[in-house]
Amino acid sequence: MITKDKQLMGYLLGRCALKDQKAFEQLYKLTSPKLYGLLFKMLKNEADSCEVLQSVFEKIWKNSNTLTNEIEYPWAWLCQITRNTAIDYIRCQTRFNTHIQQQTTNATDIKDDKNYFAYEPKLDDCMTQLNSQQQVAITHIYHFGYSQSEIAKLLDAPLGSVKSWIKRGLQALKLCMS
Amino acid sequence: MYVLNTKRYDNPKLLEHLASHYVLGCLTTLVRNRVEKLAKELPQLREQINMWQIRFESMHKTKAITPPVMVWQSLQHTLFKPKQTLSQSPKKTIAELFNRSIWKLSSGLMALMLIILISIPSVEHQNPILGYTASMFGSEVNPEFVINIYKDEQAENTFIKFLSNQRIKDSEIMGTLWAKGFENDELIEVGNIKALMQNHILTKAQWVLIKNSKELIVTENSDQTSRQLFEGICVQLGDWG
Repeated sequence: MITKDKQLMGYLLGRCALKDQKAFEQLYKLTSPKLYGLLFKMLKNEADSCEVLQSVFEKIWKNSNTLTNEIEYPWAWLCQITRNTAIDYIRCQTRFNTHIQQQTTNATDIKDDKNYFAYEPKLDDCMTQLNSQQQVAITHIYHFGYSQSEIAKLLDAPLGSVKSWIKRGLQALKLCMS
Repeated sequence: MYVLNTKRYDNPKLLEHLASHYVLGCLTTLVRNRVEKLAKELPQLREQINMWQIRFESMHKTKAITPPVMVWQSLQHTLFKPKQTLSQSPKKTIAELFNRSIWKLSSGLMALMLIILISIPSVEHQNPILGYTASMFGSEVNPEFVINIYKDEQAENTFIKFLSNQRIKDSEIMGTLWAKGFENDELIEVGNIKALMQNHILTKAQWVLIKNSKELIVTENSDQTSRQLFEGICVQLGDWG
């Protein structure tokens, strides 16, 4: 998302706070393709992605009167609210166990799947410095909404070890990206 | 009433742990909601969350896919469909139609005025960047108007714009604008609202005041003890790149 779009996004969110429907429509047109892409990556299903996308924009509209005072980085915030809504949705679905089984086969190939996990070079460099367990844990939590105990199940590892991988992985990423 | 004990959250390691795990997405829904509430009260936690969101931002680089049209249609239906009440008669009187026409005409004129107002800086100055914004609240739950501060990188000028919704007329936005400092909550006068609305251009001193403020306040007149009409937190939008 280019900077100009992000500037516009801040302006549109401000207008949404004033209950401007046109601005909301414009915000939807500007951001929904990217957010839908993000949801599709997480949920792998058109119907679920549509349902969650609608829910995300309902939240944006209903809470917009409090938004502009809280949000300093609108795009990051929109992605966060989208991921949080998707995570809640996934956790509510009984199909999650199937989802885990489907992902298990991909877990070891994660490093080779460059198209699927296409980050900016800096983050990409930092991610490759993590060990494979840290990479799997962080990417699966971030992209698929796994909980720590689900990661433990996925990698057949004790929960304590998973927590430790995540903590150290995050510290290493912070250090690498600073 | 529950009072937040913020002492516990003075520990930067705890804040970092909460922020990183919140952004990563591995907190339970209960804890996540708690972190969101805490972030509203603890600027340090909000800052940490922002930092982690920026670190992970490029993870959002996904292929853009246009969602099916039905999503937008469904949203419109859910959020904007006018609610019909039993007392509403399908037949409209001439008076109702007349009132509606007047309303449409006045709404159209207001929209036109707003467009002209918005277009002024963009015509006069190339590529103004929205730097600061404040949603100004009065007695209503929703903000009454928004103050936007733009900066023109080339000419190094700064502009102020007031955006109001249909509930409040521009003529109702009056009084004196004050900047409340970060350090000592001291109020310093930025200027008369009417003059700022007419001129748009801020002096360097006015820009610095707004830049360094945590809150903007509008009082009835130039006496800072006069009745407070509106207030809003001043947020730096900066570069989201």
